[in-house]
Amino acid sequence: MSPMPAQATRLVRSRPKPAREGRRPIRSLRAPMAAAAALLLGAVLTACAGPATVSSKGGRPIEGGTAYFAEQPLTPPTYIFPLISGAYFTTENTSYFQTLMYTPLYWFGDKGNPSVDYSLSIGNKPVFSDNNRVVTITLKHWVWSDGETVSARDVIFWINLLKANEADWASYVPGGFPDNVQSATALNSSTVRLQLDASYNPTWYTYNELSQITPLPIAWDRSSLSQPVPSASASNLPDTTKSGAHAVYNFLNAQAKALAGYPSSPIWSVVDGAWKLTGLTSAGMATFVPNPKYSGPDKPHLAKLVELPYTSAESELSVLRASSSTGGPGSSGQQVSVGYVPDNDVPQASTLESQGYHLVKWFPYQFDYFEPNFNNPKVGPILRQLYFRQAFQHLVNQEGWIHAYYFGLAVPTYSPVPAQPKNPYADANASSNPYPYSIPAAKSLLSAHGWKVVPNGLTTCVRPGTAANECGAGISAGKGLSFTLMYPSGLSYTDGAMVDLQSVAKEVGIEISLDQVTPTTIASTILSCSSNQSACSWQLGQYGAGWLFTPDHYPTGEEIFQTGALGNVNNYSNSKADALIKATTTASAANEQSALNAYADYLRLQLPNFWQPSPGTLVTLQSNLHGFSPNAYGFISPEEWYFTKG
Amino acid sequence: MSDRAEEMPPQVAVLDAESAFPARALGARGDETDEVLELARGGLRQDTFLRSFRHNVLGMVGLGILVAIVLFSFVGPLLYHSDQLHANISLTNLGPGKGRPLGTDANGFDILGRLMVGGQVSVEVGLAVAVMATTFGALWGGLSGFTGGVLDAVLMRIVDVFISVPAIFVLIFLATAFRPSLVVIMLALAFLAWLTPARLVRGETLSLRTREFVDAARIVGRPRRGIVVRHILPNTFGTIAVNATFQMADAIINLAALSFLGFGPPPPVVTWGGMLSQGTTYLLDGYWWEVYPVLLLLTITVLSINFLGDALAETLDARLRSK
Repeated sequence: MSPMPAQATRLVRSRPKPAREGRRPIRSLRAPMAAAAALLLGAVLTACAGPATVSSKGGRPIEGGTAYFAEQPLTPPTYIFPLISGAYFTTENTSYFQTLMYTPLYWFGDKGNPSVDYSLSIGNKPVFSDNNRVVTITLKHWVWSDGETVSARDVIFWINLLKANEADWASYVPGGFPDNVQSATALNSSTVRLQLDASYNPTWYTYNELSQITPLPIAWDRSSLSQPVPSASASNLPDTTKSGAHAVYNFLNAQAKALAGYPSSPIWSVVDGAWKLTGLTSAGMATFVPNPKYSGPDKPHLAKLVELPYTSAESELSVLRASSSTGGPGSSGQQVSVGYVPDNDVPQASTLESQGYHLVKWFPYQFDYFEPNFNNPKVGPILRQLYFRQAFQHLVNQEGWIHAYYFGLAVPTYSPVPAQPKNPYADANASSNPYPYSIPAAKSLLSAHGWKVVPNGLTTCVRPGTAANECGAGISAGKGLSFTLMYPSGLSYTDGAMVDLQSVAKEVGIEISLDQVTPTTIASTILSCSSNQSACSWQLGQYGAGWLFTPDHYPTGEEIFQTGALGNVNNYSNSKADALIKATTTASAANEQSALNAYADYLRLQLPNFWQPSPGTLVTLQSNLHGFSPNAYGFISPEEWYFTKG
Repeated sequence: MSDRAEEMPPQVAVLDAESAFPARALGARGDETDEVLELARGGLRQDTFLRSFRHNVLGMVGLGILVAIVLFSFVGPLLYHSDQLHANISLTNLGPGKGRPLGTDANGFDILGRLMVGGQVSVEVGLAVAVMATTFGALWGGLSGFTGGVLDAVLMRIVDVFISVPAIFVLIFLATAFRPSLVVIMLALAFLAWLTPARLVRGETLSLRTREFVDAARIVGRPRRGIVVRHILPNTFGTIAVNATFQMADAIINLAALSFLGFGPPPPVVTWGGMLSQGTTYLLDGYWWEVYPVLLLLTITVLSINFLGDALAETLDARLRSK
């Protein structure tokens, strides 16, 4: 597992960012709001919007109709092949596009709960044996749109392609899947057995490793369109050799880059998902119709699904305001059946509601943070002091920020295993703030560790040294608490929060120079580094992206907090934390929760990052559209949507 | 050489104490031909200039507004106290009311107080850029026009090259490449603004260098640099002064534009453009007090400076016509 390309995997809003090596935090966008309006809005939302677990159901379904789904601004679908590289790993490509046509082996996000939903999955619950070193997966009877059965061979095809082209897989981490699979065998047409290289926590392996598998049709197992469509029963198919698997990947990758050919492609038209693509414009408008051979439990009610591109969130809001809040068969004109309220326009909620839209709050399963660079040569020694991180965390007014800047549409982060949305992984500690907003507490911590606190001035170290009441290793006398904090432009709530942090920090003599840069600059600057590298000059960094648990859905920290992990961009290193993380991935089923609790409870106090609120989204639904259910991992399931009489 | 300019009665003194007009310039050099004296006396008397300016309604309105804005920005905070350093998130986005005549913004800052602080930055940046750009541009243009030949061609082609690059692109590039502190932004704005006065002064210089008093200076052995600085540039004062006002207005607008686009100086520096940017984020949400007051203030500030510049141009033009 590794850090994910920084991009939002929110239900309807995402923040595309340039991909970089490995996986990166994914982020949601939210906006601030008036204090008074927040209170009013809170009441409105409480009345009109349920928690993530509430689905919008009601009325008798009408078969047919076209649902219009609002894409995120300037993020049209650009890649159809599920074995996706970091360069294309966006929410639009994965959660809103590919999974509509190509169903993962396991479906995650059980009606808003952050868990696997076996009823919607191709695979039955995996069986672990031999001290959790062997995994046996049986498949339900699903078929491809070409009539072939979704078989164990299709799973092997995926694994073969992945093994031969792992560097092109956005979720690849050295040592992770498929490196930890010693052998993969199709025992019969519906059973796959994986021999693992060690004993792993079954839940972790299911949620974070098997979650990466998407069965691929054998019809794709070729290296040119002119080759005959291979038969599933044929032996010696190209994917069975490394060179053959390379060639197949290259062919499919090339086909995936020919966007105009998607709808008519003999490759991409073979689907096992609920939807088939019938149109894709250069602007990014994607049109789907139901796959008549879809094997899943929820057959589509809609006649058509259209994903609409927008150049800005405001233009989407304009369409929402100007168009009809009812849809379905017979409706016409521009409309948005499933849309979103832009971050800074949440006060518009009541207006949209009065128009007839239903509003649904959605909170992804993620935590949010900003990062201290532990290896920065100037301030690294300060940031490595736990007492300083504790003091600094005391300056983060999470509740105040949620109220003032997020319009109430965010949840506080107190733990790397978040308590919200409701889930079985977080313990009681995840709901309490160990470092509540307190300027006196921050002052006290600094004073107790050898700093002369100068409110509205510059606090300096007056007792250098490594004793308990001294500043700490590497901090010289006279050293001031002065930092540069880099944060991305374009996030109104971050703008406000960082200004608040700057002014609050000033009260304890911490100078923060705010450096607002483009998201691209952020992505290319906040990187792991050694203290002697020029790339290590960043001090505090706000990614503009939280850590969403997808496509690794179990909330462990091996991708972000383990020493040397690709997502550990701020160079955090703690041997005890490493051991606790390791325990979460290898614990037996009986011990997995205690291992997870031990990890979470240690890290939440250690502050490898500074916790900040995790934003949500306000989803808009046409008044007669039902069946929508916010997915904790960011997927959509339009096959569950239906219209009722308006 | 006698020094007739020194003998001029105070009322004949020209605008610039050093040597703003031909009379002072020539007088200082003691070019004692009748023609020169006539030219010297043709210079606009201070009282004449002021009388003429006072009759320019738009000019007086502009001056009045500008003075009011300067007082508002620099004296206002002494009379109306507000904390513009510490955010107050319990007071965010509040509408106008008791104790906050223009409401508060997304960080709980008082808008009226913020307008004053932002005005200080606007005036300071506008003045600094106008002075830097005009001084450098005038020297560049004066040297180019007076020297002529290859040097003129080279200097003007440099101007042409810079002037052909889209200003907003350069500004954004500079703001991205360098951390956009106020000083960096001033330098960046001045870097782009000096081109216009350089061209204008060069044009004026081409005309002036053929004038008799310049010939006279040459004949008496004045060095080139001295002729440019003491004879040519003072005679382009009108052009420079008028252009400087427009430079100031442009700098204020450009600062606002940069800040609006997110390339302005970072917090806690307050700019009107930054206020406008933040306010427009909530434009659809009815927080009008975060948009319209600052927009109005920005507009009338720039308008007043333009009025002033136009009036100055008209007044000086009348002087020239009268000659």
